[in-house]
Amino acid sequence: MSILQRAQKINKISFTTKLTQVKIDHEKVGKIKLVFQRDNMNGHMGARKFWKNYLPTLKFYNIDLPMEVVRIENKDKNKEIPCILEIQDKSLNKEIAKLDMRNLRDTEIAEKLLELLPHVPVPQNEIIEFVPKIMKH
Amino acid sequence: MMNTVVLRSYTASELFCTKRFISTSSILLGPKSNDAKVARDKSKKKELRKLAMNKNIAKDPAYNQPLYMPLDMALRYLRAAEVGYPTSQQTISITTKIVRDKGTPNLRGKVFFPHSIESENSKSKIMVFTNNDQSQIDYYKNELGCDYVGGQDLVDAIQNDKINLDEIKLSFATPDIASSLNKLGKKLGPKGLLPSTKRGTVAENLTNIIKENSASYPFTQKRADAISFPVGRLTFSDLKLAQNINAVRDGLYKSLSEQQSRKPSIVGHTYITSTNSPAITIDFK
Repeated sequence: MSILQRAQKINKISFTTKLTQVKIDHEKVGKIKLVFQRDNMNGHMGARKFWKNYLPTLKFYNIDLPMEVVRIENKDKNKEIPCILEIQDKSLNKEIAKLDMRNLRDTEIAEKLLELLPHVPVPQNEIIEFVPKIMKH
Repeated sequence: MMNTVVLRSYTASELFCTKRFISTSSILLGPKSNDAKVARDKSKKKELRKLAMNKNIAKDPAYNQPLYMPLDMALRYLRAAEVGYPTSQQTISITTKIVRDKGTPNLRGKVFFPHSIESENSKSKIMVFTNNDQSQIDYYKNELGCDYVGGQDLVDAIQNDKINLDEIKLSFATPDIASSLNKLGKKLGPKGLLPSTKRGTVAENLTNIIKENSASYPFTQKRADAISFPVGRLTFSDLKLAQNINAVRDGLYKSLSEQQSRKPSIVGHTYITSTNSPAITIDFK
């Protein structure tokens, strides 16, 4: 992978994904858990894309908050597999909110999650943009 | 078909000789061209230029590199990139570039990690065969952390399949019992657990051998002029990972000091990466 590609990947985590640049209230939220199947069928693609595109940014600005992803192996189209996002409280026993991610796009999931999560946007001076240095050689 | 002859650098007698005109070997007999030598010199110069450039880059401080980050920030990016992946896949490794002259031998050595890089599920138990007294057995168990220590009773237990050999990583023996272990050859041999003098796992005093083998990670430089080391998992704290990286640096510089060459190799830049993250340059020297 070239230097520019690597810099792009780094910036995707911390800078270019604007929607999930938020700080979650750690007093109220203890864990975020996603459950979906490995294959895209039956409306699970949005959940997988949300995990790939938006969850790393959420983790970067909330590094101490546990986030779990459970991917279920299933090849049977007629079998119902849950496609849910759970927000658990500090004690990890109580469920604060639940979101059904089936047939939703990744952006829609991120917007709906922010409605459920107690959060504040990351201050502009704390958002990290990575600029690769130019080599002299 | 007519033969063609190159008319250059021939003597007059050669030119006017009829035999020469019809000969197909006239080109081969002619003076040798300089082209091959020039090409060889050119490629040699190019190689030297490349080596000098690589040495310059290697000597440059890490913070001048395009993708340099302090270690804590790099680990923050790695943890974010690995979110949601199973913990068994989240291995962090560092890759160090080694610049060396032609003919310099490969680097090899051992790294002693303060925090074990093996996962909890992997085999990690140590077995020691000895006929020594109880105090020595207690010493092996408590001080050196050996899981199975014993003499004939341990041999019988293995023969009766009372011990799960898949959990055992290393086995050692003292010379007094080594000869009677041959009957376990069929069970221990295929798993590489049969102690032998040739492999250096049979000795009177096993303390140093156990310490060196249980916590060490052997490394060798491959053709690509770079060495990779796994340094831990993402479940480790930043401090533990930093201590393991320090251990790698100690091991690498020790092997560099022992390298028998007039022109020792130079340690270049170091990248830290995990299974699903981009590589980030860190300060290693």
